[in-house]
Amino acid sequence: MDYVIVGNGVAGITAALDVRRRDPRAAITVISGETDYFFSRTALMYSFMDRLSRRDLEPYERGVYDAQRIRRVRGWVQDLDAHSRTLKLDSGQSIAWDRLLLATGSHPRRPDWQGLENVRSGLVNFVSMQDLDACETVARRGGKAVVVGGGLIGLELVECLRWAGMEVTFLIREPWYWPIALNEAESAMVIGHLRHHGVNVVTGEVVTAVETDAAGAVTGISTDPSMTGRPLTPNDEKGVLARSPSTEPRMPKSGNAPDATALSGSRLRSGAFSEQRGSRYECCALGVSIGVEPAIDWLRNVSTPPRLGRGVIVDAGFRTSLPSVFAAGDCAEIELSRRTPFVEQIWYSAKRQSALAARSMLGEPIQYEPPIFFNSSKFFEIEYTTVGRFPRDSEPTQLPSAHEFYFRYPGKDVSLRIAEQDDAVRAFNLLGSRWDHNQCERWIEERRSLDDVMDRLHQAQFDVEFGRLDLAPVRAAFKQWRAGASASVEVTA
Amino acid sequence: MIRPGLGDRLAHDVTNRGVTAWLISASLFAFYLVLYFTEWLTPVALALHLGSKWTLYGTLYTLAILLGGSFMLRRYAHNRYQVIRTICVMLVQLLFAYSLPQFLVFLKQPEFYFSYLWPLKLDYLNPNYIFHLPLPFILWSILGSFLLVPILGIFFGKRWYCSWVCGCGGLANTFGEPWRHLSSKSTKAWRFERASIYTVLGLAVVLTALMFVSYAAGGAHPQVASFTVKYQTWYGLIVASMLSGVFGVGLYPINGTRVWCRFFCPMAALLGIVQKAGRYRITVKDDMCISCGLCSKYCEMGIDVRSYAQSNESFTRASCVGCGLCAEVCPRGVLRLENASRPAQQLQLVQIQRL
Repeated sequence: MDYVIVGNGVAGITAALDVRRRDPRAAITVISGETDYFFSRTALMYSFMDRLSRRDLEPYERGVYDAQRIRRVRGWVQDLDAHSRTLKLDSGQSIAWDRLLLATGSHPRRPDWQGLENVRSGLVNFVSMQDLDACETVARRGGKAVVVGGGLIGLELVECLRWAGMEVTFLIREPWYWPIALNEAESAMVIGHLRHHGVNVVTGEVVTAVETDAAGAVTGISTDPSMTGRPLTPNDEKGVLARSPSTEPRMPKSGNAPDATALSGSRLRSGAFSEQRGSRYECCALGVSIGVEPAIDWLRNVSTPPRLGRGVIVDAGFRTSLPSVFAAGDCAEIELSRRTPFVEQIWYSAKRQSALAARSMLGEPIQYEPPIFFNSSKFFEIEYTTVGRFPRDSEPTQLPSAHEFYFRYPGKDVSLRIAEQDDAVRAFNLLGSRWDHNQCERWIEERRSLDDVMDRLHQAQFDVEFGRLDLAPVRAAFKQWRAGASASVEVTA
Repeated sequence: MIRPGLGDRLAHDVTNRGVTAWLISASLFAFYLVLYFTEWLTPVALALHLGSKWTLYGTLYTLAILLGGSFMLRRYAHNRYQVIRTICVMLVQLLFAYSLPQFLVFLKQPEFYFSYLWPLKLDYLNPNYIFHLPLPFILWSILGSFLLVPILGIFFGKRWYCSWVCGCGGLANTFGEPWRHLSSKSTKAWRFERASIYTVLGLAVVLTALMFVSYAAGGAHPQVASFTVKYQTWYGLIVASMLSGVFGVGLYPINGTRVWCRFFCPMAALLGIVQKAGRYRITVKDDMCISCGLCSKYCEMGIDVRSYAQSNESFTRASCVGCGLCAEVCPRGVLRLENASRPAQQLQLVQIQRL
């Protein structure tokens, strides 16, 4: 049986190794146009910062592919024919398959700014190996950089460009950083930390145009003061909003005023930018990270396209609309009964999905159930763990039965936020210390009450030895909060 | 800009096997060859009123640990495990491996290093040497090797010694810190490690046995005694001088700081066996690893930590010295060093998940 996998990212390689584990006789081919060997996309920033070599980004020794008899083919797939069960590469090579897995991942979303079509150089990102090349070239020149987009890759870019010594402005269209995941207080803490690192953080501004020189190198961007964004929610199906005139009142901007530690860029010298919102930002490096979307454009014009939505549409067994063709990872849009179709674009979801897709290709009956959501990240030095979904993320209005307990350690970049609904914990947002998300997941599954969880909170601590966060202040604040003192306790020094 | 934690090591010639790194390596080699095989350093030591070239060496060694240690303390000030461990290593060196032996000599006692034990220091179980010492020294040596090492090893793993007490580990984790990432992570290196380290342990055990035999036999079997002396000389030359000194430290800027500890140290081999049977482990959080590889890169023992982390496997490797840097550099907080016994409830859960 010929198993062919398009894409050598984490989904493709996990599936290839899993097929091999279960079927020693399978012929396995992995095709990639990007690199010869699987690498960790999430670690691109560490290679940029000279903490890892490019070779270090590869999670497996190169000999593994030969030892596991996984054939690697370099090239971009041009055509997919489900009748003849073949693929055609850009080199003209034709590859036959019995089972095909599409694991092409995602690519950065492109904004609709004026002038973007003229850009030849100066754009930076951290999605592909080619992005790393571009980023290194641009950053070597130094100067000013603007990063647009308030998500995780945006923050990685900010950290890296700042590390490279550039003057960095972080432009966030929403009223605060990453509203899809952080509340205003948490965001203020992160933004304070960014400012401490010399980042010029600007919120609530919408980019309209990109400026380039004659050679197509980025020279600056302009923003429109009459437009503003509103916080994203998972219900914004495209993830990014159409621009909307600012009719609604702006969200309060606490913690966002420029302060003395902010970068002394030209905008700061010219006066307080909070009043002159919207204008021009000079830059020679422009990071655009407004989310990623499934990389499925190549499938639109092939001989037999599978059914496409936001991604390649698959069922609970990762089967596409084409026989013997499967899809998993970032590029798959999963349709389950009684659920709105969804795309999961996280490292672990790609691993879980593709391991199951491999079994599905081998003929096992597979019913995918997405796990309780969790994720982690790091904002410069602030570590972040989140588990579960906050009730207000999924509901248009805050339900009366939902409560949130929030506590920030006085004088520290450490906070906890735990949501409770119907006497059961629903979600955790934990910043500045280490936590075991597996334990939090179990508490959510077991529908433990918030009081119960507070009692045993230490069981989920994952800090280094001798470095455990003292939970006494949290528990004291919780008691006070339970006594009905306030809806949210925030103590700042 | 404040930049705690790791810096841009791969960009520097000194820390990325550049010309300077090779020059430093060559100088370290030269220094150790001069120290072990010439008397050139003796006049220097005497001029500095240090008595002998070995006191000079001890002074330099201690200074390197103290300076490197302050650098560690600054760099990892946010990590209490690193801070406490580094302070411990610095104090042990300053007190037990430097001041106390000299003070003992001053008191007309034998020059004794309480921080070294058999089989790292074979003399401490050499009947011809140890039985001539006062009783407390004999007791410390025997109880240390046969009681302290296994008991602490069972409860805390080999780290209590290799990265908290030992002078070799101390130098590696302080002065050698900027080179820790240069250890080879290849399967080949691991294979060599398993062959070489247990070979040296075997040689040390056989030699110790021979020393007892020749001690017991006394003058009855002169050929045994002369063979033991020859064996001892060669062991001292190859293992103690060349592998631990010349190559062990000389290769710091090229192959990382734990060449001796990882491939040759008999003490590490023994502690590793105890560690495998004990409680110490590195716990991995399920599904949180992003395979970035920082843990593997900054493992001084060349353990491919990532291979365990990305497959959600908590693990104990015999070579792990528990320096804790993998947990420190992990950007997703996936790893934690642990030696508490697992709660019964958690064990059950693990078993259920495995079924």
